[in-house]
Amino acid sequence: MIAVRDLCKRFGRKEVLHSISLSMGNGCYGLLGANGAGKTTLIRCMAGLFEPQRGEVLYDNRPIHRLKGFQRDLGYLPQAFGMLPELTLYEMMDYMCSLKGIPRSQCAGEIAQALEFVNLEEWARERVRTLSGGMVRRAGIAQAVLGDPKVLLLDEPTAGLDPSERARFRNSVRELKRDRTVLLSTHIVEDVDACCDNVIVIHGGRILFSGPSDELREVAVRQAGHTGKKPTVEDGYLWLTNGIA
Amino acid sequence: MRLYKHSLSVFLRDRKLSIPYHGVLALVLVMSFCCLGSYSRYDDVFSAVRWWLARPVIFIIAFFIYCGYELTVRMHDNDMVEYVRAHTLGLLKAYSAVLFSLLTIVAVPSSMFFAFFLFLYQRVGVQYTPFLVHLTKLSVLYFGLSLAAGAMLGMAMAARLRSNRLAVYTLTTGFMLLNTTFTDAPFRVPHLVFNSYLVERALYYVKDFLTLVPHQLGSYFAIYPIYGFPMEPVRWVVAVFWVLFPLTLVLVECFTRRIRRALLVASALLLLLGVGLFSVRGSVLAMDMRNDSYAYADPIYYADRLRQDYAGYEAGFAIEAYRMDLTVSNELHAQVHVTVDNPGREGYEFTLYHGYILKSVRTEGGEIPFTREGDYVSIGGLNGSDTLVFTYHGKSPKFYANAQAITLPGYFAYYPKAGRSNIWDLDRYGYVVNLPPYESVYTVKVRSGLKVFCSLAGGDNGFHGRSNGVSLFAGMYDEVAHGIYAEPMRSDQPTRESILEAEQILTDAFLRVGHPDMVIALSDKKFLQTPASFALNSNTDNTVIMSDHIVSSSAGAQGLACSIMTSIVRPKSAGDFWFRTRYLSYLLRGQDETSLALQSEVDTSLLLEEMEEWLLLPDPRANNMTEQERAGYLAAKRRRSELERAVSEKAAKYLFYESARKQENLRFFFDYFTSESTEDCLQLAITRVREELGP
Repeated sequence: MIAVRDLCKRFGRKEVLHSISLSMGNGCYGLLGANGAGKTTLIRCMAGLFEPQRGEVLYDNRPIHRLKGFQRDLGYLPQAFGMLPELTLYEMMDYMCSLKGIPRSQCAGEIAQALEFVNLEEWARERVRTLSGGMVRRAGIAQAVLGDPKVLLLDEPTAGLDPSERARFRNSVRELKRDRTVLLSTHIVEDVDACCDNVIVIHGGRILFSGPSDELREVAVRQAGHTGKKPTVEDGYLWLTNGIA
Repeated sequence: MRLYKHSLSVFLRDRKLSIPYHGVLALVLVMSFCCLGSYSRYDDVFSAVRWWLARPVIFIIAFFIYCGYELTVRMHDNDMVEYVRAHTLGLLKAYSAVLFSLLTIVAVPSSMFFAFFLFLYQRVGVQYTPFLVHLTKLSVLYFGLSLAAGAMLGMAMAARLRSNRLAVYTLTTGFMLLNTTFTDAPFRVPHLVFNSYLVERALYYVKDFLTLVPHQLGSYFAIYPIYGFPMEPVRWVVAVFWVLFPLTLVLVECFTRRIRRALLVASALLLLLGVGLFSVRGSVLAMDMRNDSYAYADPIYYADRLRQDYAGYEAGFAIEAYRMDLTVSNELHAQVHVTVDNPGREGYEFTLYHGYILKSVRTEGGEIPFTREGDYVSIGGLNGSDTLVFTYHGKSPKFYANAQAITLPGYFAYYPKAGRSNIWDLDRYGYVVNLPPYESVYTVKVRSGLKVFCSLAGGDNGFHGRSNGVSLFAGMYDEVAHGIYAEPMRSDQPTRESILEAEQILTDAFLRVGHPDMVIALSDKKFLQTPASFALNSNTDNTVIMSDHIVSSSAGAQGLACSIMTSIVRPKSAGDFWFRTRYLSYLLRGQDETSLALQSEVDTSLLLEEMEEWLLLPDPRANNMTEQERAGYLAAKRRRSELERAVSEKAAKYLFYESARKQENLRFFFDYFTSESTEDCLQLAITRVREELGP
């Protein structure tokens, strides 16, 4: 559904992404990498916010910059997310519906559904300034899922969430991934382990691994030998990145 | 629409924005009330609007910069830009919502100002549509576009500088200072210290380009009714530029790739267009301290140049006819056909004000060479032709001609005049009244959006007649009575009665001094009142009588008679000011009979004592003095000045009011003042008093 072909991105002289190629269908993809590995840059390129120096992002096999409908099918949660503190949560969601071009008649239903998804329906009439940091993060997830997007790009979606909310989020992602592409960029490997079928490991702007999470676990088992403990995505990720280091 | 509603909600719910905004709305009301109060008290609508509305508006503009910035930068402060951009035209939609919200909040005070101007028009009660149009344009330019430009600048700074408030508010402060006269002092340094006229011009060029409020905070220049508030086309260009240019900078942020590049190109083109149009602004009323300004340009220009005296210069030819095709747009564009009476000469000299750039001089045979030297044009023979065609364009800082108003008096060389004559008199600090001793036939056609009033007969901006000078006026100017033209908004307008009365006063005076030949038939001539601003930098052209019309800034009978007589009774030196003033007062019977000075007779013995002292008191010189000598010098100077005034006033009172020979004395001094005599005025008066009082 969404693919990246030979993507290079430079900021000045610094090349942040080196010839990255990926392909993603329906399902949840975990994007793992250390700080500065290029996760956010990759996501921003995929969201059409950055123009790459080389390569392209394809959606349904067509470059996204030539595709008018792509942004309508995109749900995006950036790493830094905030809202206008003077508006109520409902108004803010309405603001986002308006940006997304969701017809007015559908907005109320969409907003209710999105807020219920992140367990914020009771806070709809409260001003954004009264929400906690975690609630704002959940509201960010809610705005990303407004309009039933086919591609969800979530950059650190669980940062700042308490354990119960994280658990709820993981369950929700399992629901979301059935009929869409979800790319989850995170530091928290447990989240990827819990809800992603596929993992992409990025390091220094290069893809180290891209494949099913079971395969990454297998890598860990093969390299470390059978220890009796159930292998995790984290083991595979750590082996991959430590090997490079 | 929903985005707009939410944006407006943000503005209204944020106390840091809404409370000051409501404060500003209250301030607008207070300013309007104060303006109304000032008008009611002083009966000067332009002064009231200038003081209470036009000058302080820069603070409201600065407030809208703040609003524009703070409302827009919220998206950056709250990390919204990234995900807003991820939607189709997301940032454009969000910025548009902010833009329309800002325009809404700007529209409220603008509408209040407009409503107030409509009320003011009703209150003033003058049924003069150009004034209503002027007020409407004023509310759009000064209180609409300027405020919108402020909001746009704030928005652009938010889009470009993000949360860098230090930079934003530093720029805002700089912008505010450039819209006041407080920058006059540093801007004059290059000229005053380094004599660099070009740097001063460049600084003011930048300042003018950033000036949203042409009548600036700190300016002490009055607004004159014929011109009103400066609203020349270039002011509109600048205001529209400062709305559109920031808008393109904001739009650049909303797009990527080709559209972004196209917008960058568009903003660069807009900048070029703005600067280009600004560069050809033509005649603009510059009421400030700069060298090019209304008040200082000519005095400085002539003071900096070699003094040449052309009094008594004989041209050697006369101009029989003028055919003038004038186009008044941003400045004066002229094609003047001049027919001379003596086409066989080898050379001709003309006077044309140096501000007019002479493009060509032609005869029927084609272009002929000419040399230009300041105000003077020299050409060779006419090759058998008797008609010359001068093509020129340009401006004068004082005698302006632009899309807003025209003030071109006939004595000013805005068209070629025969021979060489001085334009400025350095000694008398004023313009020289240049009028030929003969009449020429004039045919004048003026292309202008303004209704032009001319000293000649005609209409629809076409005029014809004989005169020794043609005066043109336009702007908020009208025929207020038959043959009398003035600014309808001015409270001291001339009337037919006041002109007749002035004529009687003058006739009486001329008969008293034994010169019935000098009686002037004022009521037979057209009367064109000049703006009071004419006196700002000149004290010589208050009233000028031409063969078919009079131009004068005076209106009342006594004032008009006095200014006409002043133009006849010329000063001999700066020291005769008090004596001459009193002389004119007694000659025209303008003395205040109720004043204490006239209640008692002159103490002649004291007068003689003071005369003796004044005569014996040396004229102090200030060279190479010690501190002690300086103190003595200053005391002597003060005493001499006191005595000069006291002796002048008492001698004048004695000679022209109390003396049994006062008629004879009046006549004697009239002949003295109108002669070429170089005797000292006060010395003469003292001699005369001594003769009467005896030893």
